[in-house]
Amino acid sequence: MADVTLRKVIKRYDDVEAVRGIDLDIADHEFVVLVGPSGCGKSTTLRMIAGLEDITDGDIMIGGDIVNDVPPKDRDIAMVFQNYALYPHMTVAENMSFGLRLKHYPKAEIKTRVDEAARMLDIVELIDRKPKQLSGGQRQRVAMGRAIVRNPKVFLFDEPLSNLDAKLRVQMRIEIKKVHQKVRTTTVYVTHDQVEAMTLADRVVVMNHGRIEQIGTPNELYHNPATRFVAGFIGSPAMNFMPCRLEDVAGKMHIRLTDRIAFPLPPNRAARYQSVARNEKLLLGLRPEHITEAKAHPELGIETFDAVLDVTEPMGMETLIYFTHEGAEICGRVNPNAGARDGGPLRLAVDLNNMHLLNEVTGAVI
Amino acid sequence: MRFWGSATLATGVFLTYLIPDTLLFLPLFKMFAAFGDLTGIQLINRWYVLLIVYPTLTVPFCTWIMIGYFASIPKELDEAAIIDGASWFQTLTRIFIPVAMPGLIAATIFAFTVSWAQFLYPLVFTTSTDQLVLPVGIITTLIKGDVFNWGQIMTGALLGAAPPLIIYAFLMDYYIAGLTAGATKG
Repeated sequence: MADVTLRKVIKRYDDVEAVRGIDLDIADHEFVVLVGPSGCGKSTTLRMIAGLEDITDGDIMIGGDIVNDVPPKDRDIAMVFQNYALYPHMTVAENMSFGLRLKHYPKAEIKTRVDEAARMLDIVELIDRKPKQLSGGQRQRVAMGRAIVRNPKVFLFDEPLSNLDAKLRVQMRIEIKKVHQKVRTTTVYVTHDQVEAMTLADRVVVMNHGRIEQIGTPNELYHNPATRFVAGFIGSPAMNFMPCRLEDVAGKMHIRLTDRIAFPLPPNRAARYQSVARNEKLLLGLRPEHITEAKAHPELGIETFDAVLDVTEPMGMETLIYFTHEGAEICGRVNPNAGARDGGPLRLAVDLNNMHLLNEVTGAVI
Repeated sequence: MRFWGSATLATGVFLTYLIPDTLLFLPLFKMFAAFGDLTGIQLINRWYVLLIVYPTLTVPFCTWIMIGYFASIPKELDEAAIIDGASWFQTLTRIFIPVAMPGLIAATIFAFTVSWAQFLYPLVFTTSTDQLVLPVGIITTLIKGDVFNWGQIMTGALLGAAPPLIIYAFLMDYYIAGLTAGATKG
């Protein structure tokens, strides 16, 4: 087991810069998830750690040693691929033991390690089957088993759950978390699914256009995003953004959304935004759970307004509502008993205690 | 398996296959004759010259089939083996060749059939009766002027047809799998 460090890592393909100078410190035992949209450089970063891609510039260190020119087999890493990449002509046991057999481990030890991993992953009865006789979930377990038996310094996962159906994905997510709790191997996990990132990670690295947008625990990213990209990417349904500006009305700071709509800010928010220029173009960021049905008793920082709903989506424990504000679709979450219906009016409340204010030009959260 | 110029090489191999063998046998014959004159090792009119000549027909097409087959193997398999600690040679022998076995069998059957049924090259390169291969031997020794020894010709034809029939009967599935894999990925 080891820590992994990336120092100003750059990857260039001809004219295209896929990864633009990444700095990342991954501690021993840590579970770090790289997340971002397609083409953000997350898989390239993982493949560079694995040694499957050369780095154009910078340093990659595993366990304190620079491994820029070390071939993958000598990096002591194990990787789980999206399409499993099991050897089709070998049985499950042979697949799992391939790496150990190449290193000429004693047969007894190979058997012990394979049996142990098979028990951990609950695939003992599949041990003599070929990959084509297994379901997708079972194949992914075998692929994980192949990584576990080698007892490597670092686990690398490249979108391992993308090929599975939604239900199985949730199940395997829990399995991966359990395995990590047991073996505690440093793990770098790549996914484009922010739910996977949030649920699995000790720390999430959000990437965009080959750069790191923000690094933080799932809660930090959710509650204190640094940029508009992170604010919009983390959370499902995504955060709502509404153009706005600040103004002072009778000595109290207000946030003005339209000519007709302006809300007074709660004191803690007003203090925080005191230095923001009053005519600056801003965006109000509000998560759907902070746009809810209006309650009978007003609370500090909760402001109400009337909306006509376009669409409602009953989810069982909550109902998602969509309405249009200044041409943009806004999503809120209301109680299933709040009386929301398609095309119907509803009195809504916004929780400004949990608002985010962003610079419209730079996208930075203020 | 990807190296600099691999695409050009693949196209080159395919283009060589497009040259008809009837164009090739004359320069080949002259080459072997000249080789005999230069070194004193006679190759013309020896059955084993066909061992050298036949690959000019079979290797380009078999290579083409195998390029398609290897291309259909996901690159992650290669990468998984590398990460598992396999060398390039171990990846080839322990992963690629076993996985590509249907393609290899298809290529082998193809090469065998083409060589077995070959008429033009053995007719040109071998002349004496003791060096002739079966298809040429049947025609040249069993037809004398306008006398056809039908019984012997038919026996010869049956004997000649038996080996490919037996091989196809057992390996046909591989043959089709191999050809389609090559066809869709080429």
